[in-house]
Amino acid sequence: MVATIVKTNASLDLQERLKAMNIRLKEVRDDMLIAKVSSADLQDTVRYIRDMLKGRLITSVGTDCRQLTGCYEVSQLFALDTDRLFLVLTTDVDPAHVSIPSITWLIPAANWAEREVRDLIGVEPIGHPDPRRLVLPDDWPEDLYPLRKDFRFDERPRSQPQKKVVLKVPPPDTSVFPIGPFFPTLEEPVFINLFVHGEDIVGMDYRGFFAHRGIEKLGDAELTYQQVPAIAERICGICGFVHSSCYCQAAEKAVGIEIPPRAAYIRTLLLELERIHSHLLWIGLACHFIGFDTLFMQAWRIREPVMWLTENITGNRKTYGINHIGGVTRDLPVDAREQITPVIDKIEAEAAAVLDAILDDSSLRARLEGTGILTPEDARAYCVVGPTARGSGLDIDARRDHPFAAYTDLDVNVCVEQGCDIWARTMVRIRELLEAIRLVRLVLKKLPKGPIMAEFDEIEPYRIGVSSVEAPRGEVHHYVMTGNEQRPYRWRVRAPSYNNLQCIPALLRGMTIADAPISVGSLDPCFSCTERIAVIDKDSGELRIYKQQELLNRFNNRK
Amino acid sequence: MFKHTISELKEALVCLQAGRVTLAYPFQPHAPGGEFRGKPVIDVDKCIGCGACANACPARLITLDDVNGYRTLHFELGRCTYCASCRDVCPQQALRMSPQFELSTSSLEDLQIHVQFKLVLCRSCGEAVSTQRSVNLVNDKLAASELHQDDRDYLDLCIACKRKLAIHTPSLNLEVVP
Repeated sequence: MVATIVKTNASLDLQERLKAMNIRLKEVRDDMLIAKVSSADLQDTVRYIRDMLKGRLITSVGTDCRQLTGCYEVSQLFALDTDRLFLVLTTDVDPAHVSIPSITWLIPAANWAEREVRDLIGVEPIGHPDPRRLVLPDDWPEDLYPLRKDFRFDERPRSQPQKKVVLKVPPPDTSVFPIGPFFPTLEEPVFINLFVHGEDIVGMDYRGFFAHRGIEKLGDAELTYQQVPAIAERICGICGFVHSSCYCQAAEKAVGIEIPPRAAYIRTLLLELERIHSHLLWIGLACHFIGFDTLFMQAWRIREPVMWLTENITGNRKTYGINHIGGVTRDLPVDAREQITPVIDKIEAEAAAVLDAILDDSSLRARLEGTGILTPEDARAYCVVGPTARGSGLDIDARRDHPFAAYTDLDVNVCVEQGCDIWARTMVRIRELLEAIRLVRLVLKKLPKGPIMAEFDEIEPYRIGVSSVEAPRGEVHHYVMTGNEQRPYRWRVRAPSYNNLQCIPALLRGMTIADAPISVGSLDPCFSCTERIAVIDKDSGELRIYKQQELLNRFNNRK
Repeated sequence: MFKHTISELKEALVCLQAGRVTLAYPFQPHAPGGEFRGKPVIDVDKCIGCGACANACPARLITLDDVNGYRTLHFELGRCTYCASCRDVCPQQALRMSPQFELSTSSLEDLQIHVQFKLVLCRSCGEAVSTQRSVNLVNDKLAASELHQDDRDYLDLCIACKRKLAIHTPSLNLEVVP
């Protein structure tokens, strides 16, 4: 028998060390290790990964594997950035005792993920410092877990008698200053209670997930493999292409599909164009937060041609809709280079003019420098990603650390700033904007010819794939476990704001009320949004959708 | 202070150079460019009612309904996300994405498409076999091919009855050459 050599980034030393820690390696792949650990060893192992391997927690994934192994499964996903590895640490949970030791006291970033696993799968994190409900609505029945396999995707449980919203009790001698349930200036649903001493913020309570849409459930219960990208792209209203790319990459990695080089380059091109428009959008919004509407208008004016450009080359200004597992479904037009080059040249010149103008604007700098401080220690503890991490001196970027698509061929300059304040995050984004323009040019220069879709057979069931994509807001991460019904058995999405929003308490500590909107805004947060009104009748539990005239009538009758 | 004033002047210059860029939409229309994916349009002459689009649609807005010898293909475009999956799978190229994007309306009927097709019913059990158009298409293809002409006699049988017939008539079974 010929010995097969496993090509992997994991050094033998690392593999030995993991074995010494009682971590059973189940699978060793190119850029990923899947390990099993018992519930009793979990905390020690996580501490070891955090301290000795410098692991960064991505998220936790709960899966109902009762049909396969008889157990629930909770996986902690870690990124070992220097080793260019993902580590999937799986723990089986016995359905008779549905609990797992909490790791939030070791890694604060695990807070939401553990509560989400509890809400959706029902695995109780023992010893969690804040075990309140997170994702599900307040009137959702107890003991009903929507991501379990015996819960139908279209089941509509009866509303439980409305319980009072559980809010944190403010510390003594403080007043409560509520922001929300719609964030000022972002028009997205989120509720922040600030606890203040006069002007100064001493604590806060966060409630979000008002628009939980059950997308993961649709992915593993109703849609097929190639339909998921359509919904993945709609997770975010600004940077959707990162999600469809990330899902496709995770699925491709699960079963080992190699996409053609041209498809990888097209994905990279669109990811960078998306970064250009997203960063310009943020620069405008940030200025809007602080009342500098001149620059808000100018930034969005500069941005608009990218939207028209992507509309021309993909068929839509925002949802490009060309990602499928195996590649892309639509090739670039023949004159793509002639279309793209003038647009990005113009953006570069105009962005440079704006940058030159604002660098010496003392009122802008006075507002942004020294505000919204996120120390590198906090950034590491909350495992923040993207410009938020890089503005606090953390040198991480998935495009370099976990290369995907065509980034393996491109040298990405990672933009890191040490200022830890809003100005530092602004500078990171401005430098990334210019870097994205450079990358677009490089992609156009190197763009290979050839097919855009890989040929592959049936997708093998019960394989695990994880993938990261560096979105404008930070690292997006998708976890796909393939299934046998032409759809994923489990699909987990971790958007960058999921981690970044959790650092808000650290970000606002010691700030004043007036600093709050721009500080939160400096994370470039992406809450979720719904656009049609669906009203649930409290008495009958019926869902009905109002037409324009009915809504007007309702409103008029109220007066 | 001096630097700040220069900075403000430069900011003013950026605005002045740009001038007015807002379009007087909707009075000045802005047609989408390239192969824009707008409202799907169905070519009823080409469509054979096979339902491939209904299988592919991620938003599940295309449905098939077989009643009284007729199949209705039904589009509920209020939920359309313009992903063009229906167009990509259509074997007859009967669907295309039009550049039309101004679709707001107060009447849901404006966003519905219904196409009716006559069905071929199974000569043995009366179940729907397929639409007359797709049966005709298969018939034409078989007529043009070198296959045995007898095959066309089974076109008006549903799958279940065809299977029964094949089991009871061994001579119909094709020889499989390994």
